[in-house]
Amino acid sequence: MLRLKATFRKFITLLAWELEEIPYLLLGTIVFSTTIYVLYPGVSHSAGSLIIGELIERDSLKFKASIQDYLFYPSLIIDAIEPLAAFLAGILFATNVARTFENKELQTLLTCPVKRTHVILSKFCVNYSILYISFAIPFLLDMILLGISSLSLDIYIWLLILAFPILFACSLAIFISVTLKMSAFSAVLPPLIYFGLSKALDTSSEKTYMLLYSKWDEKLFKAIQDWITLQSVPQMGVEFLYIFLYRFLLPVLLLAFSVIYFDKILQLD
Amino acid sequence: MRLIKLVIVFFLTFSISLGVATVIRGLIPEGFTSGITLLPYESHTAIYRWPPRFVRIELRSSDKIIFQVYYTNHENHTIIEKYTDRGLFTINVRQRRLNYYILMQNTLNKSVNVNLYITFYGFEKDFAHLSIILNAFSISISFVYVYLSIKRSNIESQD
Repeated sequence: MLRLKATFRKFITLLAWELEEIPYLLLGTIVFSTTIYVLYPGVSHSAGSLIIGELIERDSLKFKASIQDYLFYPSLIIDAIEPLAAFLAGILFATNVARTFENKELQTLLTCPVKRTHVILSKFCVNYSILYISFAIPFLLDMILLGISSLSLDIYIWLLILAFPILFACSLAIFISVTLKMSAFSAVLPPLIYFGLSKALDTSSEKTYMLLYSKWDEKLFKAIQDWITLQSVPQMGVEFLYIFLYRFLLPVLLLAFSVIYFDKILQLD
Repeated sequence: MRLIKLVIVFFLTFSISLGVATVIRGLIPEGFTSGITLLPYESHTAIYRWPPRFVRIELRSSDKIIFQVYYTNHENHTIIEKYTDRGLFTINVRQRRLNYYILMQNTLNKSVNVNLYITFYGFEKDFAHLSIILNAFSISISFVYVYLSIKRSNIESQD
């Protein structure tokens, strides 16, 4: 128990150290670009008009929200967020991971009594948190402006779904940074791979094509909402298998491979 | 100490970018068009949520119709504009979370073609207020931090 506590304390210290190493200019650029991008009228839907239902009784002004369409607008924003997340993750990991190989900073860090796994995981956690928070704050603001109450469960389900595309972007970026060890390639390759993968999925089949766009995020949102409110158990069809593979298993495998490669295989001069 | 600086940089950048986003959103007009054919004695109502900007509604109909715009806060409803002719109307939307109803009613014994062109322009009031408050707050925090840093470095140099 004491050993576990000590390991945890060391990991927290590493996290704090990694966070302090983030350049201010890079942090500012990420926050600025994500806020402007998410709240830009072409991406955000809160700048325009929303149709929310149809009138069923004119005298008492009762209306029926036939489809709560505005609850699904966040899925369109997540679609738009994905390419920018891949681009920013590339830059962030190139600066924070790949460059440390180039300037031998990592060798200096590894002379301290820290585990290699903790070093790479702390870098991943810090970069992932920065990207997630940078996207989540304007995304949350946009959802509140859309009329979704900040106390409703829907907003937190959307925030959970937002975590998946950013997880994919970050795990791809860390995989490239650890294997190539060159900052230029690490910055450029994640967005290129993302666009290549999108193009490949786009042309393969209709089901995988739909995976790229908001329909399946909406289905995932409905399934999580029903499961949390105990309305129904989500059916695990082929759609959820695709969602599970693309949104969760692929990023986790990329991250696990990066950690194992860094810990067991990678030779540092 | 560097962590506090990092949080201040984050907050300051966020508030500045929110201000820039407000200006961008205010300068870009948003809009949509809807066309409908009202059969004899038919009516049509659409319910919207609009951002707190100026709304310009251009109504073009092939004949006279009753055209109303009103909002409700679930209990009471207030008719804000009522027209019986084609024309150009401007509405100042003050709150975001109200439901706005557009009612078009054909009182004639013949079909009427109606085209609506709705454009939103101007700054979103709530968004602008939020960005001004956040900017003022973050700039004040930054100044306090810089002042304290200078004071601390002076004390250290004296020691």
